[in-house]
Amino acid sequence: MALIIEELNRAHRVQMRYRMDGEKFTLGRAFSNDAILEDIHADGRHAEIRHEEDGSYTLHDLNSINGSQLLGNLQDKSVKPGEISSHQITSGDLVQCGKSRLRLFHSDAAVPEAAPLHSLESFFSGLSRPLNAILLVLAVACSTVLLSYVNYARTYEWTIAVNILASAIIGLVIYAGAWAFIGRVVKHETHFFAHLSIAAIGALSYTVWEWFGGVLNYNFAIGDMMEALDFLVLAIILPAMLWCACYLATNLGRGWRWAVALVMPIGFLGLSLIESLSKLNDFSEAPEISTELKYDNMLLRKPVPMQEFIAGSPALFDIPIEKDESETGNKDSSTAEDAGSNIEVEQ
Amino acid sequence: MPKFPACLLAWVLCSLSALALAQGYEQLYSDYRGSLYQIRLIEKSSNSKAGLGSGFQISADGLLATNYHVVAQAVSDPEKYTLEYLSTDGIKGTLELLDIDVVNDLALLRQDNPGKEYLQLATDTPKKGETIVSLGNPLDLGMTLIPGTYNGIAGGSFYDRIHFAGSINPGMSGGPAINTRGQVVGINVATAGNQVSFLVPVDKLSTLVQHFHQRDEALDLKAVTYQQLIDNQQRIIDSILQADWKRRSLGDAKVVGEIVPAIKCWGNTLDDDESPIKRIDKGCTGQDVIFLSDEFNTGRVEYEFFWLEADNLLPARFYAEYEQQMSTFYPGNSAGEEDVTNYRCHQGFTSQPRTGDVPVSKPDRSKKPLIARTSYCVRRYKDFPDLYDIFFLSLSVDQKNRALVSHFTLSGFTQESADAFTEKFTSEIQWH
Repeated sequence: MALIIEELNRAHRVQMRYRMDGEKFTLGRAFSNDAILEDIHADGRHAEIRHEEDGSYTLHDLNSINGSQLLGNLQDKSVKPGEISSHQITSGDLVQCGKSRLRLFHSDAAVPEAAPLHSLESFFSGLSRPLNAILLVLAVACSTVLLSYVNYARTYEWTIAVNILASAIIGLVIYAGAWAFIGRVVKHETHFFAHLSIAAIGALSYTVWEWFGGVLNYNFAIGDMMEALDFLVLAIILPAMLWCACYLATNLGRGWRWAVALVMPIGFLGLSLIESLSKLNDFSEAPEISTELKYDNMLLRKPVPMQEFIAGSPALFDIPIEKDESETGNKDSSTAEDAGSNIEVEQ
Repeated sequence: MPKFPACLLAWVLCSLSALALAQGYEQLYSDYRGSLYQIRLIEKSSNSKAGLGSGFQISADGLLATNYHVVAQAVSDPEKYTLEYLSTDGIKGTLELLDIDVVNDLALLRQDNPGKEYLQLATDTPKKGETIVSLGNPLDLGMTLIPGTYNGIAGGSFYDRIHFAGSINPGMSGGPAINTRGQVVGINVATAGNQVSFLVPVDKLSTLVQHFHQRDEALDLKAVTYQQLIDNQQRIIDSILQADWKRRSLGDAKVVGEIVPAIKCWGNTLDDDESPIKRIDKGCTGQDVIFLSDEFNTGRVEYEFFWLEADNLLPARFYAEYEQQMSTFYPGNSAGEEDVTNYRCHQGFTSQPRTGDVPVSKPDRSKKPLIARTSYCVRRYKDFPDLYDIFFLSLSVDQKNRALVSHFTLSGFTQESADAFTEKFTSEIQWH
């Protein structure tokens, strides 16, 4: 059995790993040490670890200026942190010498089972290919330009196309860049092209939905339902994008990743949905009709003869008048009486 | 120089007649100022003026006539407002509302303390060109006399109004217009600016006075207004349905124009280089509305048509521009939440057979029925539950580069009237 000493960096990642096979292992800033600490707070000879006769390992602080501290144990949460001068090491101890952190393991300590690769891993690796990412971005750019051309009947200037193209691409690149930066900092993984592909897929799906929603609204005049459907679509696209971004760029665990991905977008979307729902029954001076117009090759419904359509209108006239109608009625009559009696009094 | 005296004579005569007329105005003013009043709408809590109008006494027992719109706020919100009169000699008193005619914008009131003088209502109509004078208190400046001429009943309105060539200003509403014999021929009601003003003919007031005397039960303002609105919409719809609807072409379509003289049509063509779509507009509307309150008016008939066409434009692009241009339609009258319910709509696709001769040059599609996206919306009047505002919009969608839009709004009509109008309207619009 040997002792494994892991020196951690400030990001709590292993910077250097040592194997102690002998009887003694020294730690300190001096170059004669087995582990040379790059730490101005560590003494030249800061501490040493001895292999005792009973087979255990003990850490001795060599009267260093800043001392040595036990910060905890990775396997046993009940271990209390504290100052140590002589400490029998158990596997998983986290120790601080000066400002350097060390993790100590017995070489025969069990390691946790390997985490299986996420099923989406191969999907992400496909997305990370620069060619795929660029093709997806081009698809977004082309569809945006095409839609803007089709939805604009006046003379289509090339500057409009350039403008739209540039803003679509810049938008996607900024999104991918931001997440790549977060990933670089937090997880030391950039995945720029994967983020770019995800943003492009999100944008494409929303564009497809917008077109399809237009056709739906044209055919079925779904009105207020449209807003709910839009919410539903965004409530799928945005969490999916955020989930992918969290997966690629952060160290969040499964549960937290889902929580962040679901709660943030749905929370914000929900607020705006509630706001528009609360306005649903508000008085509006103009009739609320769907104004969507498309050529009848998009028409999925069979038109009814005009006479039949008009014949169906009487049902519309049966509009209930809210209860405050009776109150105002009472008010009117009572005030009329009041006015009458006032005059009589004055006469 | 025989001519000179003749000229002089003519000049002297002219001056004399002007002098005589001027003296006549002074006489009229001093004779009738006693029967003129300022009507004040008093806001109760601040006890100050919230609105001003004019009025005049028409009987010895203190009956006073004015415009409905002068007293409307006191009618709709009697807890907040009260009415006062102020004579030209500064005598104040309170007023009791006796009867109203919302269609002709008249109100009958009674003074708590009748004045000594009152005006006679004329029984004969003045001759066109006859001088009549309008009296009132413009902008709270004091009683004013404004001479002008009688020009008969103004054409082009569902509501009879005398066209008075003279300036009526705010505050004169409800004041009388009298002939040189001092008889009331009309009541000041509105102005179109530049000496074009309108008076309610005095026979409407006589009818109202008669109505008041015949009525035995207490005044139920809501019921009276309701009945007047019902009768009025019936009168309008009858005149429209009885008329011969002449079709006019608009692009490749035939639409209706001025059905009755009270409905005026306007047209415009938008054909600028920027837009690939040429649009021809035709809008027709009844000129006047019935004033019920500042936020609520009714009694309007309005319809409009748009013809859009383009050459060799991708259908998707044509329809995108078509959608954009036709995305906002508003009702023809204004009404608030207290007055009407929300619109309730029925939206669908309709087909109508194309009639008439199809020129050989036309594409095949023109033989097929006209497919349109049609909306029919109604909202109900909360205080007058048999009356509705009706909104109809039909946008054709069956041609690649051509479109016809027909739209109408009726305000303050019953379901029967709306049905009859809609049926007639939709059957008259055709695309050949």
